[in-house]
Amino acid sequence: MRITTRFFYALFAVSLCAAACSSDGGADADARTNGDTAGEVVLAEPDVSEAADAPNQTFGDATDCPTLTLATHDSFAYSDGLFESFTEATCIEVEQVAAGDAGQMVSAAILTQGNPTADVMFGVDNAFLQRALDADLFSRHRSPLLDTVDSALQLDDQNRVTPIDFGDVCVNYWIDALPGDAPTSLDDLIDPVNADQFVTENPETSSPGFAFLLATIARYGDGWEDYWQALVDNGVTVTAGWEDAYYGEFVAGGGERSMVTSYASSPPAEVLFANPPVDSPPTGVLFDSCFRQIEFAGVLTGTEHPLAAGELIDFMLSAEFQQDIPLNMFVYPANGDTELPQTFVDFGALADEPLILDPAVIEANREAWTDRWVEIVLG
Amino acid sequence: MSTGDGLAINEVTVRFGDTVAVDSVTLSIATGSICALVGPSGCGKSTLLRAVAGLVTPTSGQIQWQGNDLTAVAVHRRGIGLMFQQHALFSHRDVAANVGFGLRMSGSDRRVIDQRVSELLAMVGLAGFEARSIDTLSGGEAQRVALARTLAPEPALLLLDEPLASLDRARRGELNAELARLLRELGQTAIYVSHDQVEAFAVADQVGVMHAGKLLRVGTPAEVWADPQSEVVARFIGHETIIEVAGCRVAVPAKAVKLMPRGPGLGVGSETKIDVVVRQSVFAGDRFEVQVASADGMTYRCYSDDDVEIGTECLVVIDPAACPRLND
Amino acid sequence: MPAVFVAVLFIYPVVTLLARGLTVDAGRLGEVITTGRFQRVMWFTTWQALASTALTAVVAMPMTWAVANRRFGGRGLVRVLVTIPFVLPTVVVAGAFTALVDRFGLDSGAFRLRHTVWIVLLAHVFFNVAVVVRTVGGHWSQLPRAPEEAARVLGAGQWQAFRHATLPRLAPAILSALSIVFLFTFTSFAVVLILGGPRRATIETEIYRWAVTRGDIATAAALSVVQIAAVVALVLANIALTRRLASGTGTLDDRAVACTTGRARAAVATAIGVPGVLLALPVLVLVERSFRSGGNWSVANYSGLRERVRVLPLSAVDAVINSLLFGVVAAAIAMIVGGLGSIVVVHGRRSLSRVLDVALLLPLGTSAVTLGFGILISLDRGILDLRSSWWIVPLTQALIGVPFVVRAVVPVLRAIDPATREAAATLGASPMRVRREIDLRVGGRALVTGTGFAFAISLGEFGATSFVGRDPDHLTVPLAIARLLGTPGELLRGQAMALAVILMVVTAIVVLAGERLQPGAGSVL
Repeated sequence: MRITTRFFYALFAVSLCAAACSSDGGADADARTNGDTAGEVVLAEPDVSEAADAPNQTFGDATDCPTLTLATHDSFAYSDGLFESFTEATCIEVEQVAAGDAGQMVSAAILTQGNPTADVMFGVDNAFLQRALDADLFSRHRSPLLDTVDSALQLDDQNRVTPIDFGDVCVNYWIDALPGDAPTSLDDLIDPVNADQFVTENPETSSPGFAFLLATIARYGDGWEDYWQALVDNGVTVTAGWEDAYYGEFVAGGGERSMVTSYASSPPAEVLFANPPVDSPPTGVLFDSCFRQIEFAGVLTGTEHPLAAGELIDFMLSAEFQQDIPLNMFVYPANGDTELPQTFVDFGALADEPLILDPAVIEANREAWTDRWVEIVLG
Repeated sequence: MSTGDGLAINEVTVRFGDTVAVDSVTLSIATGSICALVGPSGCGKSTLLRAVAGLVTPTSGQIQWQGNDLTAVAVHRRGIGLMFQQHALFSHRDVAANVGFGLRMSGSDRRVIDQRVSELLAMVGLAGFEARSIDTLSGGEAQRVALARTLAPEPALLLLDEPLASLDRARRGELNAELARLLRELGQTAIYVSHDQVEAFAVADQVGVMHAGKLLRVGTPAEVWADPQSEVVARFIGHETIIEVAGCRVAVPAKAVKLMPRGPGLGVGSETKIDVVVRQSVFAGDRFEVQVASADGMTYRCYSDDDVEIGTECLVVIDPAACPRLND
Repeated sequence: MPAVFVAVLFIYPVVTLLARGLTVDAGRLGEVITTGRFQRVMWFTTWQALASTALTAVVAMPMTWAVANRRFGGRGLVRVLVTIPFVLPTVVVAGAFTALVDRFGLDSGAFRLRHTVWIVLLAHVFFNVAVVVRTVGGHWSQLPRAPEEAARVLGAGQWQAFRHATLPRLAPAILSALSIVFLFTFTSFAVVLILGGPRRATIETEIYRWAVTRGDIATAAALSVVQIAAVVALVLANIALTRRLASGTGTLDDRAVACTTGRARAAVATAIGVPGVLLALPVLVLVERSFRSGGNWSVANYSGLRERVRVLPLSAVDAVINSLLFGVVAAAIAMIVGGLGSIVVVHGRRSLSRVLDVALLLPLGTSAVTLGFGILISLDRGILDLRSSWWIVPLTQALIGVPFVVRAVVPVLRAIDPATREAAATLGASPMRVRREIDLRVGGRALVTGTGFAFAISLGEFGATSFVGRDPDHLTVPLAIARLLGTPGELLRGQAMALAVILMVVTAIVVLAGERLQPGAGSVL
C-alpha cells in the first residue's frame, strides 16, 4: 500500500506540473503568479489605446509576445485561422476558452474578479452588462474603430466594454403552420385565433426567454403584467431553454406550435442549413417583438497584458473579424462598415425599431420582474 | 528449550482487548516432528497457530525458528505454510493457479510451477484437476487442493488449522490417515490443530492440550493418555469417568474396568468394586463395548467378550494401577 | 492519495465557495430555509428522488437477476447497453422522450406525460437502470449459491430462498447502488428543467437560478449548505446500514447457469425485455431521427459529419476523438483513485476509512454549480491553478466517477473471506501483492464496472466542467451536439442526432472492450 501511495503521489505531482505548464508555457505561468499588481497600475490610466497605437511597443511585462486568453460563451464560433493574421501583425498569440453560457461566464468572472482566468472576455450581453460593470470586471479601453459602431450599440460611456456584435431576439413563426394570417404585432399573440400557438422560454433559465420578457416590458411598460396574463389565457407554453422550445414544441422539431421565441437570424440559418436545400426560409420574423441583444468584449481587470488585450479588442472590431461573425454566430457585426453575406442580406432581417432597455434598469429590476413573471405565468 | 532446533514458542501471550486468547504458552517442536494442539473451541489453539504464522502479533513472548526470532518477520517472509479451516481457496482462480500461487509469489519460472503443480496434484490424488474451477470441487477435493497449495512452496513449517473440520464425518478418518502418511513421507515439521483428539492422536508425535488460553499438558499421545495430569485434560482426551479413589481423583479408562457378575463370595462396598446396572452394550468387532451405571449415577465404560443384556445387575472391578491419577 | 484527491478537488473548492457565500451574508441560511418556496422545493427534490430510486429498483431488479443468474447470448452486451443512456446529453434524451410522448399521444388528455413529474421519473429510471444492473449484477454474479440451496432444501420456495438467503447478502450492494441513484436524482438538473416543465424546481435548479441567473452567491451558498447537509446525512445513514449488513460470505467466479428449459428462457426474455423496451424506445427514436434526412431515409447526416460544420470549431470526428481521450483519462483517474479509495475504505484505519467513505461519495450529491464555481475561486494559485488547464475537465469528471467505482468495489471487497487474504500472505504474498492477487482479482469486475461509469460520465459531460473554461480544440461530442442544436436548421439537427448515435456506439464499443480486458471476464461475456 505504501509503495502505491508514493507512486501515485509522484504521478499526481507530474500531472499537476504538466497541467500547469500546458496552458501557456512556463515563463508566462510564472509571470501570472508573481505580478499581481501590473494590471492595476495600468488600470489607473484613463485610456490605454494610444499606447497601443505605437509601433513595436511592449505589452507592459517582460514577455514581448504574450499569449492572451480570450474567454467566450459556448456559442462563440469562428473560421479556421481567424486569429493568425492578428498574431502575425502583433506577435500576440490568442487562446480561446469557452466557459458555459453567457450567464455562467459572467457569474464565474465575477467570482474570480481580480484574478481572472482570461485576459479578454467576449459575449457579455446587455442583459448581464450592468452586473458585470458593477462588479468592476472590465478595465477601460477605447478602440479607435469604435467610431464605425452605431452609437445606439454603445451602452457604456466609460468604454469599459466594446460592442462586437448584435442581433434581435424575436418571435418566429412557421409560415405553413399558422392558423391565421402572419402575426405583425405583439398583440397578435394574444388574439384567440392564435390560441395555443406560442411557445417561449423561461426567463430564469434562458437568455432569449429573458429577452422576450424584456421586450414586453419595453413595449407595454407597467402593462406587461396584463399582457402576460393575456398570453397565459391564450395558451402560451414555456420551456426551460431554446432547444426544447424550438425543437420540442415548435413545428421545426415536430411540435405543434407555430410561434416561438427565437432570433431574427433564425430564418437565414434555416436556409443555410436546410435539408433538402430551400430557396426561402420556412419561418418568418415578427419584427414588432424584437428585443435587441448586443454582445460586448472587454479587457478583464487583473490581466497581466492590458495593452495586448486592448489590441485584441481592436482586432475584434476590425473588418476581418467582423466579416467572420454573421455566418458563424448568426448575429450582425457591430462595425457598420462590414459587408454582410448574401443570405443575411436576403433573409436575415433586423427590426428597424427594436425594443431595448437600459442595462441599469434591467439589473435593478431583474429579480422583481422575474418573480412577478413566475407568479403570473407559472402560478 | 532454545537449542535452535525446530520451533520454539517462549511464553507467548496474545491479548485481544481484555480477553487473553493465549496465556503464556511455551512449547517446542523438533524439526521433522508433528505436534497436535487440541482443546475445545475457543481455547486459543487457533490463535496460537496464527501467531506462529504471523497473522496475529503476540502481546509478549517470542517465537523462534531454528534459533531465529520470527516476531519481527512479516507473514509472507516466514516461509510457514498454513492450511485453513475452510481451506480459503481462491475461488476466482482455477485449481492449478491455487496450487501454484505460492511458487508464483516466490518468483518461480512458469514451467517449473506447472511441473510442480502437476506433481503435487498427483501426490494428493487429484492428477488432471489443473483446469477445474474451485466451485466444482467436493469437500474432500477442496481439502486436497488446499493441502497441495500449502505444500507447494515447501514450507519449513506447516500449520494445519482444523484441516478436516469442513468434511463430513465419514471421510475424515480416511483423509486424516492419508494426511498423516503424507506428512511423514515428507518429513514435514507441522503443527496440527484440532478439536478432535482422535484425529490429533492419530497424526501427532507430540500432543499439546490447551484450555482457556493455557497449554496444560504436552507429551506423546501415549504419555498424555496415560497421564493427563489434570481433570480438564483427562476429560478432553476422552476419559469419561473420573472418580475418587483413596482420596485421589483418577480417570478410569475402559481397560481398567473389569465387568463381573454379582455373586456371593465377593464383598460389596469395596473401594474398587462397584455395583452397577448395564445401560448399553454395543457390538464393536471382536468384542462388546458396555456402558454401565452405578447407583450414584456415575457411568463406566468397559469391554466384554460376550453380549450383556441391558438392565443386568453386575459388578465392576477397577484396577487402580491402570488409572491415571489427576492432580487437582 | 484518494484523500488528497478529494480534499484538493472537492472539499477545498466547495468549502471556499460556501465560506465566500456565507461571509457575504451569514443570515441568509436562516432566511432561505424558512421560505415557503424553499420548503416546497426541498420536499419535491426529496420525494422525486426517492420515487425515482424506488422505481429504478423495481425496473432494474428483474434485469439484474437475469444478468447475474443466467447465461445467455448477449449477456455481456446487456450489461454494456444499459450504460448507454448515461452518455446521452439530456437535451437529446429529452427530445427523444418528448417525441415518444407525442407519438403515443401522451402530450395531452388523461395520460398526459409532458411536463409532469411522471416523465421526470421515467427519465430518471432511463438514466439510472444501469447503476443497479451493473453494480448489483456484478456483485450478485459472484455470490455463492450454497445458502440459497440450503434454504431450498429446507423447504423454502424460490421467493423465500431469495428473500431470506440471497437478499440479505445482496443488500449491501443494493443499498450502495440505490444510494448512488438517489444522489444522482437528488441533484438532477437538466431532466427536471427540460422534462419537468417550468413549474418544477429542485434544490439543484434553485442553486443554479440563484448563482447564475441572479448572481446571488449568498443565497446559492445557503442552498448548497442545505443540500450538502442533506446528502451527508443520507450518506451516513446509508453507510451505517451497509456496514451492518456487510459480511464476508465468500465470492465466486460466476454463479450464472445456462437456461435449460423453455420456461427459463422465457423468464430471462421477460426480465430483460420489459425494462429493455423502456430503455430502447428513446434510443430507437434517436436512431430513427439520425437516419432521416430531408424527409427521406439516408445516411446523409452521418456522411455530413466528415467535414467541419460551420458552427463547430472542429470536425465531428475530432470531437469524438476528444471525447474518447477525456473519457479514458477521467476513467483512468477514477479507477486509480476509486480503487485505492476502496482499499482504504475496506482495510484502512477505522477513522480514515469512515471519513473517506463519506467524502468519496459527496461529490455526487453536490451541486455542479457549487463545485464548478468553487474550483474557479479556490484552485487559482501557483501549481494548483488548474482553472485553465485541460486537466481540470477529466479531474472533475473523475471526481463524479470515483463514487461509482467505490460503491461497486467496496461491497465485493467486504465479501471476500479474510482467510483468503491470510492464505495468500502465508503463501508468500506481501501485503501489496495480496491486494493485487486477491482484492484486485476479485474486485476486478466491480472495478471495471465502476470505471465504465466514470468513462460514461465523462462522455456525457458533467455540469461542473461547463463552468471551467476550455480550449475549443477540446470540443467534445456533447458540446458539439449542444452547438448543433443551438442553431436552427434541419441539417444541423440531423447531424446532432447522428453524432448522438455515434456517441452511443462508440461508448458501447469502449465499455465492451474494457469489460473484455478485465481479468477473468470471459465468463461474463
